[in-house]
Formats: sequence, C-alpha cells, structure tokens
Amino acid sequence: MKRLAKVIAILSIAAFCASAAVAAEGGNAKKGKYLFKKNCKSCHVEGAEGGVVTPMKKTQAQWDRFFEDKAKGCATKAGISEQDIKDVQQYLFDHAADSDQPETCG
Amino acid sequence: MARLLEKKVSRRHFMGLSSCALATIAIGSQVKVLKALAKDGRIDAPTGLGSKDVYSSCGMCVNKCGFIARVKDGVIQKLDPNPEFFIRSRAMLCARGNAGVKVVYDPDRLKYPLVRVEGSKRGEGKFRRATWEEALDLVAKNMNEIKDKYSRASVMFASTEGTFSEHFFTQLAECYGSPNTLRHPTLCLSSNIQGFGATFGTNPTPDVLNADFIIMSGANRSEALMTPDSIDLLRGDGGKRKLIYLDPRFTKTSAKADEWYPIKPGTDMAFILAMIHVIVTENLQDQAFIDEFTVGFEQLVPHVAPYTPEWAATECEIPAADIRRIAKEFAAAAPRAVYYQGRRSSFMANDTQMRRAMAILNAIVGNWDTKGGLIPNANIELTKHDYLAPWYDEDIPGRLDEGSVTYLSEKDGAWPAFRDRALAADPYPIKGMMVYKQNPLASVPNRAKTLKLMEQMDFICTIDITMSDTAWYSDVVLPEATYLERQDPLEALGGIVPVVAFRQPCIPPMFESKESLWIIQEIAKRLSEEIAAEFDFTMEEHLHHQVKHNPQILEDLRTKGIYYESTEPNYGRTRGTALKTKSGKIEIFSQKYADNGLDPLPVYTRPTAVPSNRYRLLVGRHAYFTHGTTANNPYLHDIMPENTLWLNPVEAQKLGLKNGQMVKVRSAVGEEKLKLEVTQKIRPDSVYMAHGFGVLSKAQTNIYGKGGSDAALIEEKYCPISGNVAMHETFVEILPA
Repeated sequence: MKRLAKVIAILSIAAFCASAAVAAEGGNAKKGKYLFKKNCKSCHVEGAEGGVVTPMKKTQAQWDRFFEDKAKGCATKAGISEQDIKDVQQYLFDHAADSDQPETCG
Repeated sequence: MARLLEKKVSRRHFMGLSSCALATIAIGSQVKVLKALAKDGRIDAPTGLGSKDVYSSCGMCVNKCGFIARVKDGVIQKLDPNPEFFIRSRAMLCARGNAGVKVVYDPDRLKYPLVRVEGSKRGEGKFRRATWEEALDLVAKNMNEIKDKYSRASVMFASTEGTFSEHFFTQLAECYGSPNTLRHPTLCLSSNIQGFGATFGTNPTPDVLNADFIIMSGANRSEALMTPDSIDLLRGDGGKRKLIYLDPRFTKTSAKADEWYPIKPGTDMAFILAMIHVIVTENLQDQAFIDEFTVGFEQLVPHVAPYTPEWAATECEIPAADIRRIAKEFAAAAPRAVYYQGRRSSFMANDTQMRRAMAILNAIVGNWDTKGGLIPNANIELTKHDYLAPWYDEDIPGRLDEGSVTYLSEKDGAWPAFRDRALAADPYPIKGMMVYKQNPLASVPNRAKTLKLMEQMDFICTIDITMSDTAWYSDVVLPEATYLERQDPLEALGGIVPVVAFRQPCIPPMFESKESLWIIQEIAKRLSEEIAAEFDFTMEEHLHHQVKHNPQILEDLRTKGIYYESTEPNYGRTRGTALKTKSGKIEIFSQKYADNGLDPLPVYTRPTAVPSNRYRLLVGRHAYFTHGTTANNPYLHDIMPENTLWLNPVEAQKLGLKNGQMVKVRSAVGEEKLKLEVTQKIRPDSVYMAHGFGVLSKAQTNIYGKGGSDAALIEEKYCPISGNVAMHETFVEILPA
C-alpha cells in the first residue's frame, strides 16, 4: 500500500505537468510503453479490478483529461517517478484512438 | 500436366542444397517424391497410416480461405474447399489454393538449415547444410556482435503478413531492442489505409455482394483475387449489379464489367473529382447524411467547382458525357453504390490524396455502414498475447526512417525511405538483416538498390519455406515448416462478417523444417535469458490463452476449421457513435491534413507525361500467382511458365517488333529481357508485365532465367504522406534483345 500511495502522489504531481496539446512534454513514448505494460497491467487486464485498458480506449484529448484528474486515483502497485508518468502519458497519447498511427495490414 | 509427369525425379535434387547442385530440376507426383525421399533414408516410407481429413486455412495468398486436407498414408492427397468457410471464401479454393499441395512436395523447398560457404560471395548460391544448433548459434552471435559494435537499432527485421506467426517475429525485434521492423504495407496499400483512415477513421470493406453499383479503379478483382469480393462481384444480387471498371489494360475484370474505360494511367482522381462535381452541382448528394455524419462539405463544394466532366475528359480520356452519366447513376443507386477501394497497390505518388477523393465520393452519397455500401470491419476478439519487452538502458536511437513521411507507421516503416537512409547510414548504420517470409529483392522497387543494401550488411538471416531471392543472398537460411505442416496461432479475420481462422498440421513437418515459434524461441534463448523469458510458452499454451475467454473458438476451429458468431452482417453499428477521427465524424475536409501542411481536400496534379519513345510501365497481379512467392510452384508454373511484356500492336509496328520475340526493357534503374506479347489489351502509351518473374535465385529451378523482374525496373518513387511506393511512375524503353 505504501507503493500505491507513492504512485498516487506522483500521479498528482504529474497532473500539473500535463499539457493539453502534446501530452506530457518530455515524455519518452517508447519507455512509456514498457512502463505501462510493467506497471499498469497489474490492474488493467481482463478480469482484474481496473478492467482492460489499452491506448486505443481513449482519444488523445481523453487521455490528457485522464492525466489531469483521474490518473490521481489510478492505484497501481508500482512506485514510478514523475518522469515515468510522463513517459506513460506520452505512450498512451501517441497511440490513442485518434492518433496519427495508421491502421495496419495483416 | 502430362508434361510434368513425363519429367523424371532427380534424386540428387532431394539431397537439398548441400552440394550446391542446383542445375537439375525435377518434378514428380507426391508419392514419387515421398518414395525418393524414403530411399534416401530421410523420411520413413509411406505406411498404412489410414486416412484423415484435416481442417485448416490456406497460406498461398492473403485470403486465408478454409480447406479440408485429404490425407492418406501420411500423404496430403488433395486440398478441398471447406463448405463451412462460406462466409469468407464462399466455399471455394482457387488454382493457387489447390496447388498448395506442391508447396510441401516441392523438390525446391527448403529442407535443412543452410549456411553460406565461407569465402563465397552472397548470391553465388554456395550453401552448406548445417545443424540447427550451428545455424542458430551463428544468428545469435551475429545479432549480439552488431548490437555491441553499433546498436540494437542496427539490426532491421523485415517480415510480412499471412503466416499467423509474424507477431512472434516482431516480438523478437522488440525484445531484442530494435525499432526497425519493416513490414509490407508501404509496398502494398498503406496509402489506401491512410486516405480512407483520414476520412472515416478506418479503412472499411465494400459490401460487394449487396451493392447495386460498383466502380472499380484498377483493383483487378477477377485476377488479383480477394475473397469474397472476387466471387461476389460476379454474383451480384438478383442481376441488378452494374460494374464500371477503369483500367489501362483489358483484364479479366474488364471482360466481366458492364462498362470498361481504358483510363489514362494516373488520372483516376480527375475522374472521381468530376463525379463529385456532378453530384454536388446537381444536388444529388445525401444531404441528410452529410449534415448528420460529416464535416467539411461546405468547403468541398467550391473546391470541386473547377473539376468539370469536360475538364476531366481531357485528363483521363473518358468522355465527359459518360462521366456525367456514371455520376448520376452512382448517386441514384446510393446508398447501395460503392466506389470500390478494395485491395490494390499504390500506382502513383499522389495515391493517398486519390484515396481521399474516393472516400469523399463515397461519403457524400451516404453509403457509410449500410447495406451495399462501405462497412467498417467487425472483429471477433481473441485474448491478446502480451509480453514485456525488456528495457535497455542503452542509447538506442528511434526508427531510422522517422520523419521520412508524414504518417509513418512505427511498426511497418516505409521501405524505400528506410532503404535510402540505410544506404547513407543516415543517421546511423544498418548492419544486420533478419527476414521472415518477406522477399524485398522481389517486392521493393529498384532491385539494384536493395542489392546494395544487402551488400553493406554484416549479416543476413532469412526464415522461409523456399529459396527466395532474398534467401539466396543471405548468410543463414532457416527452413520454416510450410502452412500444411505447422500449427499456427488463431487469427481473427475482420470484415463485414468476421471469422476466426487457424492452421493445424495436416502432416508433420518434413525434413528438418520447424515451426517459426520454435525457430524464434531458439534464437531468443541464445540472445539472453531476459528475451527468452518472454517466449517461455508452448504453441498449445498460446492457443489456449487466445481463447481463454471462449474455449468454443478453438473447439470449432479444430472440428470445422472456422469460428464465427453470425453469418449475417450487422449493418449500422457505428452510426451514431464517434468515429476514430479528430471530429468523431467523417472528415470530408481534413483539418488534420491542413495542420500538417497537406491539402485538406484532394487537389489534382497531372501525372508526368510519357516521354517520347518511352512507355509507362504497368505492373499487376495474376490469378495464378501471389506476389513473388508462388511462380515456382510446379502446378502453377505449368499454367504460366513465364511473364511477357504487353505492347499495343500499333506501337509494336512502329518499333518493328514482333509478337513472341525477346525484347530488352530499360528503365532509369535497370534492364530486363523478356518475351514480347503484342496485344490490343493495353493502351498504346503503356506496357505491362506480371509480377513474380526474373528471379535471381537459381534454387527456384522452374523459373530461374524465365521472364523479367518488375522490381528491377521500377523506380522507387513513393507517396510522401503514407510512404507507399508508386508502382506506375516508371517509363521504359523497348529494344530488340
């Protein structure tokens, strides 16, 4: 639970850093993907308490809003830094439902 | 077929490539092959194994049609269409599907791991048989050396769809730490996906079966087969169907069309914009639909004002009266009318904007997500295979081709742009090439450049079932079990009516071929414990994971070869819901494009005029072949042993060339020799050749030395928005050989 509290605190700080236009400034999406899978998936998989979450679940604007408020309450079990939060936000923003990533073939 | 049977089986050939004895080609019946192999001591002689039927799905092209393999005494006798697969393949199996048997019993198939003989040059074809242990050690050793000397990004991973196992290969790339995966979409239809995606938020499927009016631009569906479209195109609904077909060639689809127009290549957008002009000028659009579901119609109206049918007629050489009439008929038939985008490669560098024009024309007649219109794909969910690619605290750069095109797919890359940067080591060198099934030497335009790219590699490994040109130029060649011998994961095939397919082995893998998962796991084990840990599962475990939410899927696949939840389309699912565009609506005017400095509405640009004494080179697919992968198949080779160069009789006479004679075809990047076919089936300003010939690999013994390679001739122009190559922007000179 200590780690949980820490993450909530970090997420709260991160909320101040969130930019509406380009997600988290200075976020590394590649690292964010790793951190997202490593930290967020413990709660956000099928059957778990948080339900399935993928980047495609929200639009870019919705992700930004999420990181402004609801992310504070996103209780994960890992302790990650402010920079880590930025990285996760950047990853989710870059791969959101309305992102520039085109559909693929096969 | 008699000619094939007359040929004698050469035992030497079945010895594989260990002695580099590649001069002899032999074809035999399956039983003959097996007997020869048995005598050789490499497999057991056929015994009384009884008979069985195995349900699986085809691997000969992109369609994955269902079949039932009739297996007797451990030998696949025949592949029959699976009636249960009606939803996708209409219970049909084409010539290629039938010829699948020969993929297994093909003397030219890869049989053992091969290592290029020390001291020999790439392309000489000097390989020696190696053990799996040695070959895999060599792969891992080289991958680790390149990582240590340069960076993890200096190994590129090229692969393509269709194997159902490709995601294991891209997982290997990600776990190894390279961002440089190069998939096929920029050689295929990334511009199509981009243009329709920018408009609808997705690339929908035309409801061919139920459309009353279809316009098709060059997607030659009667030869470039797509199921169920190729079949449905001919069926229609109660004979009401009208098919308008635009193609510079008289193809099989032209023969089946109600009207065929030999459009001037590269001018499709003029035709489409003029249709839009007619529709909005005469107020034939579906205004209620436009008001509710789209944005930007008000900008479209003035935009198309100059694009009159009379103007378009001079561009595309289709009479203005016909354009006007077709536009009215199209609008009258809507919403059961589609301008079919379907599957077709990209012909011109402006292809994304041409696709945008197509998408907009469809949008304004309100055919979105309604019977006979454009239907967003439905999917059956499978539980995703998840993994955690290790994080390396090393300085690994981003994709080499980053920023090379406006919308780069980070998983697919952009082939020609990537190749140019790799050749210049800009901003960093690419020194290793891992290839799975893809055959860039045959598929990426300007083959000479791809050869240069391969020359600069420290190491090349290819995993395939056949000695492709790319395998021929590799250092290590690993034989994958064919689609008839291996268990493949489940694959959700999205569409108007979604299904799930998979593959199960009809017979055990022959020779020393292995399932790709095993090959990739063995490489992973040799790279690091961390990477190996992400591949620590069996195929059986993976299958059960995919269906853990619904085990019935796997049960149905094993017993019927297909899983589906409905046989009927569910129209209108997305109406009233937000689309995956910025506005959530259909974007006629694309603010996203405007923000990126692109035309927010498609602007016509005239294609470069054909220089004097030159011809525009057109390429195309064929009902008998899939890209560069099946021309060497003995059954298919018997139907079409080589490709020819089509030339209009008027031009042939001018050049003094005769039907059947050998000619040289010269472009700015290459020269090929092939037989001339003088035919009225092509416009005088263009020439055409089928894809898949003129191979470099002497191990493709049926077709080596036959026909010409289009990849050797085509210049690598590409769409700056999607990165898709432009296949029809090359001019060639024709000379007697």
